[in-house]
Amino acid sequence: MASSSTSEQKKKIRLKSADNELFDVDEDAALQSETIKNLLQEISGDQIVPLPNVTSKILAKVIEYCSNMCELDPIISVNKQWESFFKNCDQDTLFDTILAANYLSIKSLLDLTCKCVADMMKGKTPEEIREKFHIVNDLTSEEEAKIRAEISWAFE
Amino acid sequence: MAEEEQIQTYNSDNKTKKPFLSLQVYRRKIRPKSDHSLPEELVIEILKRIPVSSLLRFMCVCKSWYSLIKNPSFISAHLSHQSDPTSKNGISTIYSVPFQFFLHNIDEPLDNWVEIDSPVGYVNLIVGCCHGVICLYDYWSRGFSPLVLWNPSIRKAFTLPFPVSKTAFSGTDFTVVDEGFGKYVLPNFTLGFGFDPISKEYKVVRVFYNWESGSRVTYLQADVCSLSKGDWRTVHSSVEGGKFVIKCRGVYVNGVIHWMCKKKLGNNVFVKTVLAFNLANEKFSQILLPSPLSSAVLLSVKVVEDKLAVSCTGDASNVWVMEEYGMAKSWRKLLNFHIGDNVGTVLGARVAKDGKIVVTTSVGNWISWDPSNEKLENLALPVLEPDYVDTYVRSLVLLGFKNQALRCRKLPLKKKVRKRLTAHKYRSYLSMLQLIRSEDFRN
Repeated sequence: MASSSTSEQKKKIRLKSADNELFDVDEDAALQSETIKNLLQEISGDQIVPLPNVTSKILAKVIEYCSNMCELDPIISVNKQWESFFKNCDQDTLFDTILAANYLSIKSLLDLTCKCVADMMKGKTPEEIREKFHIVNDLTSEEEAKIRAEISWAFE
Repeated sequence: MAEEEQIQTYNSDNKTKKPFLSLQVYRRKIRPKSDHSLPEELVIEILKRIPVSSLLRFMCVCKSWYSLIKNPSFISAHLSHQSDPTSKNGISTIYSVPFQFFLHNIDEPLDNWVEIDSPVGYVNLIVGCCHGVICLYDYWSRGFSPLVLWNPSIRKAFTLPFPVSKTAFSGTDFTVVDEGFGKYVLPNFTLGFGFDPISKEYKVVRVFYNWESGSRVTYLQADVCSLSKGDWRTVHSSVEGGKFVIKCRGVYVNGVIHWMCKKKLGNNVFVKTVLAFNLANEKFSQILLPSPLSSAVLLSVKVVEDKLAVSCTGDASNVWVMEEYGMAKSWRKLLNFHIGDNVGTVLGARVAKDGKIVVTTSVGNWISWDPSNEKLENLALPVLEPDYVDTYVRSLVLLGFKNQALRCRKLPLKKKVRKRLTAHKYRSYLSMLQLIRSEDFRN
């Protein structure tokens, strides 16, 4: 019973991105998102699922990821490929994907993207962090000196 | 000066170019419309994956990161991620010998040990480790408080007061022992250290060794010190009758401290049992051992993969794990092997990523045991005989903690003077070890 249903035409879900692009997605891929799962329960079966917080560029990536996760390949190798993709993509894409994964509630994608950012940060100095992630230092030089003195050994 | 200029450039950049997607933390209510920063919950998602050493440096990235990293709710989110058994990224083994403490990241080769600076220059024994905090007790201290809570990852230690009290049962807190080579003093109590998940408090518990039996119930007394209050309270609780003899350090699992003990039921009728003290309701109870062990010798309580475990050494070495806490039916034999002569008993055990079980023995051997084919492999031979081996997770716990009543030491301290371990002191140290390891429960 289960095998015959997979060989037949899979059920598709239609998603609409923030910039009004439509995506037809396999149901099992779309259902990796808790948010889409909940939205589908609210609207009737054939309606379009609007995702006003995700652009088409990011949504395409997210769908690709979700479809990959449904494939038969061992999850670990798929994860490795995606990890190397996120480590090499530009920061805007990475951060937009984090926001999308959070909004769509796809835990594995959120874990993976956050891990990528964390790996970029490990071992960096505060200056490198500020520069890489565009953070304005709003500590006065006295405040910063005080914090540094508190944990001077962490800079050794 | 140079830094101020740098800030200026960032600001002017922000005005001219499109807003950056920055990690600046904002509070929901005041989020500017054009700001592309990640919300605080996502910054936490990222930062909880960062090791302690990097996070300490990141405290001076900006104001919001400073207060975020010091925030107790972030510290606990970070701790639970780092100690998550599926990620295992922050997990180490702690190994202590007289005067020295070592940490070893479980992913690294076994010869890669890092010595950590101790906050005290005396021979201290580890009472227990919980959430990256080590509780030390100096059994030989005179005149000052011997109890220290220490987080080596943030180099902070707090001295707790220690009560000198008498109980109705034991008479005094210490006994003078003389085994022919000079007198020394052994305590009549044992300690335990752990975390109360209900009040979110770290607590140290003192229990005396000997408890006389009542006919049907035995009244037990514990002295409890919580870190935030810094003072001791005495609580009373009762368990099913019998004369209890406790002889080991308390082992913390699941909000409860456990001591292996011997219970005298009648004339020459003894049974081994685990006495448990719940840190939340501050009551004693008993945990039944797996039936083959109730009359076994050389028993002690362990923690294996955050679960309560009991090791037993006879003809073979056994480790049993309680799969479901508090359910006597869920005891499962995890290990069963003959580790050979002269390697002592099982001191610590953990399950490696490949499913093999890594065992540390009381003389310092490291052995790997494969449950699928029951094969043994020697990983490392003893270098130093350990007095304590446990899994350990690096954490930020105590980072923002303040209590005026407690003495806080920040490390590194002034150049510390290590007291030389005299032969006499060393013998008393060995007696102490024997006492708290509970391996002399032969009779």
